[in-house]
Amino acid sequence: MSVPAVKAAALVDRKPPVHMRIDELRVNYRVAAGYLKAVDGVSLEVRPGETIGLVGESGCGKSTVAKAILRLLPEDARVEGRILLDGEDVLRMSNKELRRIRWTKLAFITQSAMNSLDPVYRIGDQIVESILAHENVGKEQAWRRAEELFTLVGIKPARLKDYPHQFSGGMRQRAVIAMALSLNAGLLLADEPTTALDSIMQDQVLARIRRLQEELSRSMILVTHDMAVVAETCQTLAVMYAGKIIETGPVADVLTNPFHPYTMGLRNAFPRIDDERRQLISIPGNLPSLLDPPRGCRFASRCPFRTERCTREEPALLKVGERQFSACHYPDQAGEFRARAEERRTWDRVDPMLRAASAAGGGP
Amino acid sequence: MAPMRKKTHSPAANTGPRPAGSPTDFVIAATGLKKHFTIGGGIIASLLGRPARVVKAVDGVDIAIRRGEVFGLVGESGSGKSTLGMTLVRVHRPTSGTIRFRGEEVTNAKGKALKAYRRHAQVIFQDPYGSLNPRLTVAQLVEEPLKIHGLRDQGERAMRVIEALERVLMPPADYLHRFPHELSGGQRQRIAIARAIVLEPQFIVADEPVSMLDVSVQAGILELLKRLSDELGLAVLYVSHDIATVRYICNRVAVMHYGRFVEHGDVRKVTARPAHPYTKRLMAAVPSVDPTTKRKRVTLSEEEVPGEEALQAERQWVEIEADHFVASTP
Amino acid sequence: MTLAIDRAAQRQRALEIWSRGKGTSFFAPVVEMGRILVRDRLALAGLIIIGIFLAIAVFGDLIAPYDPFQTLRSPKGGLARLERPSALHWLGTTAYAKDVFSELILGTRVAFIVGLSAAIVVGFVSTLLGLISGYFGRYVDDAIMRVTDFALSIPTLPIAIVAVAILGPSLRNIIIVIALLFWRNGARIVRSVVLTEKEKVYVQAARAAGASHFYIMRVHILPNVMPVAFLWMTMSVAFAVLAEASLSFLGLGDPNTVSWGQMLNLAFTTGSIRTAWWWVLPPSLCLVLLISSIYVIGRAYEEKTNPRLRRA
Repeated sequence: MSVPAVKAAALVDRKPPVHMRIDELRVNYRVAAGYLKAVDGVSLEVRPGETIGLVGESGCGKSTVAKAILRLLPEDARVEGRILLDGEDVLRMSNKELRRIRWTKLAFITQSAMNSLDPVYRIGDQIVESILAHENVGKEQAWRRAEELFTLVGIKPARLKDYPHQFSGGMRQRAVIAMALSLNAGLLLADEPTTALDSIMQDQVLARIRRLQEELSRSMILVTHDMAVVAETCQTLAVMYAGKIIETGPVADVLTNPFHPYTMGLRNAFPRIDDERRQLISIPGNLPSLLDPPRGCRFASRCPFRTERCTREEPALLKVGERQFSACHYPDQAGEFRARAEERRTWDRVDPMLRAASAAGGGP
Repeated sequence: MAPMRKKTHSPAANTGPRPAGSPTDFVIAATGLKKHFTIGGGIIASLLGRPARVVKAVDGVDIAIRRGEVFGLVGESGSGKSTLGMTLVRVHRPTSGTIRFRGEEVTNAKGKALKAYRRHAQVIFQDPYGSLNPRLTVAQLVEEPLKIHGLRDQGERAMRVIEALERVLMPPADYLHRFPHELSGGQRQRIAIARAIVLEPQFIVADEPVSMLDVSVQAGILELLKRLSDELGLAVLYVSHDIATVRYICNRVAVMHYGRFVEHGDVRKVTARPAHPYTKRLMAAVPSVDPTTKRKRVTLSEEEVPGEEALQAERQWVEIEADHFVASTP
Repeated sequence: MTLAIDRAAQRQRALEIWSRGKGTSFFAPVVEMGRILVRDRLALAGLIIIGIFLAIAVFGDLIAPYDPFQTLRSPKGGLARLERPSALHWLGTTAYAKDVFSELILGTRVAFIVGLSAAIVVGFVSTLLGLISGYFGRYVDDAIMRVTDFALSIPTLPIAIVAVAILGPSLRNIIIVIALLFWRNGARIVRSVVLTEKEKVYVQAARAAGASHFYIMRVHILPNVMPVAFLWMTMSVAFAVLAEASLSFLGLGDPNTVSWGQMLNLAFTTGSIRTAWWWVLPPSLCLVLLISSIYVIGRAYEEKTNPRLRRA
């Protein structure tokens, strides 16, 4: 199915891409045992037109960052820092101001977005409804825009008249993307947009996102646990671990020359189709407790290269490349680390307890 | 491309090769397996004159798995791969075809015979958050299959549970009395695996066991499955939509589309030289973490992959190289 | 031989690991319940209140200063009607010149007998029917639910009146009629919980492992249904006490007893509800106290059975 080369910029009124800056964001959740430091001092800049992938394991705080940007955190969460959207602080906006920027400046797609379509209305009507609610255009014009958006995400415009249940999961997710794009928001925030899809659906959705990025060049934040998804769609990569950003930089730089051992481990954990010999290595151990985070580097307990200094002193985000930053005490040894991180025995040393248990249970 | 050694055979009207060797070589073997679901067709629907619709989830499949072999089953959602797995362990009753477990037919087993078969055939589910009852402790969870199958001696049960936990690298002393909500996704899936092996089965269906886990722990679970298959001589059916993970742990693979196999054989050969357009499509969909090697995108559009009717016409297997078969039109 | 010894040693070791960190004694559940009660002060208070009520119900005859059926006379010789609380009558007297305190004490027994027996019958019947109906579905469900729908279409009070009138006004018959009227909503509520519970992946997992229907219902479904059934039972206590009061008011109460419901109804019919607070407040407060005590214990039970709640 070849998509006619619609010049997307022509179908929606031009708005400049948004500049976003997160300054020292901290989010604490109140739980019975104290305060859970879900996000602990995250700073991030999204320049106009830039696409950033925010990557990390579940519980690392990436979704909390996304929710903080959308102001969707629970009432009892304590939020500190600033989230500047073209200079305006989202965290200090009134509800009225928030409504104004949502969808016009800030659109979002969530993991279960495909289930957010109302089953009793036609998909087209739902998209038109959201356009009419925010912009002063006629119904016909809105419908035409919806048709163009559908073409853009690779669905035949005629299917706007369908109900959600007539769409497959991947098509629904693409329909939601079309809806999120309908107002040409300057910043698109996508939280695990393809996690619920199988690999073919994911491939289709990512292809659309990539294409849109090429044509519309808006700012985008893609939150995902899947590095490969970021590698395929983003320019910049930020890796989060235990509430902090531990490495950031251009995707190609970070993935080919990671400076943080966690990034190295994450990269090795990916199954690849194109490299026969590479071993699949998982990172042993679990995230540290965020109720009472350890002193020093938070990755230390799982790091095969840790030293005494790592458990004592917290590493700062250091400049390691032109635009690459890494929070490891030993950027100079990164080359050696990289080579050793490709071997399984390096990681096997990390958790002697698991090893001991394995020995005890081994043998039939 | 390797020269095509055309060696064809066409088993009567179904797709799939006859497994070589005597039937007892295989832990599990099915021939001509079909599972059709009827949708609608209730009393009210028939009163209104609405015909029942038949969904051919599995539509004529031959499959055979040996001891210690991890067999990969790939396809997208809706291809019928999970239904095939569930039919093999007899959660579903097949519409037609036969299933043999160590040469013995279990196709229509019920009652005691079915329970006896289930002792040998276990399932690991996709969702480790849903497959463990949150009210039970790890000890109770892993103990459950033993209780179901009537192992009364508490000491014996404790021994088996502890052994199973050690095998999945969950130190028993630390985890026996924990609840699922205290564990991470990867740990939960280990518990699910311990549950599956505690009865010392010979066949396990692992239905997308890592697709809901963080990438950083996926490798560990895959390794564990492979090691258990080796150590315990388990026949494992690994069901996944992700052909990249299949390549890591499987010996053999079958690609499923619209309820049928379109390609199967040695996993290295199939992934190195995919022959069926659908397999190529699946391979192309795997995202890469390597930004330097811009992968050659085989951007096959939906139309280039044969649709359901075209696949129905493919009723012949061509062995394009040793142990690598692709379905084709005669 | 050595193999056997090894095995025995292994078994011993396994049991040791097994019991480590686990409440080992036979009384572990009791200890656990006690721990919850200590932490959950409300439940503890509820338990104490119910304990007191129970004691009053059992030893009522010894506590009550007067016979509640005895028509009292004031020291001046007239009927002691609507007297305010005094040293002689702690909670005053009714319009019929009976001692309120004594009525209250003996009414406790009726509340317990009616409320608890009706609730137990209701809880049992609705859990059983809801469980079977929801779990097996299809024809079984259709059959049970049509009967339930039919039962639900019957107007409550008229049928209760007719039924008691036919069976005769005794405490036992009142309990039977109340149970017959309240199982139906309970069964529907339990069924709806079962419908969501039986779709859980772990139920499928147990089935795939070869578990029987009875096992799945007992181990995986019943514990999730119990809190709801228990809550419904506590509500049934309130319904039952009120239904008993309504029936009593219509002259269908057991003439040989005195209940809180009867007290309230008499206060209402004699027009004293606005004036004689000492007659109205005590039975109302007792009703509220008893019902909320049962409720908080129900909640604590839910916490005990649901480990995720236990954390919070």
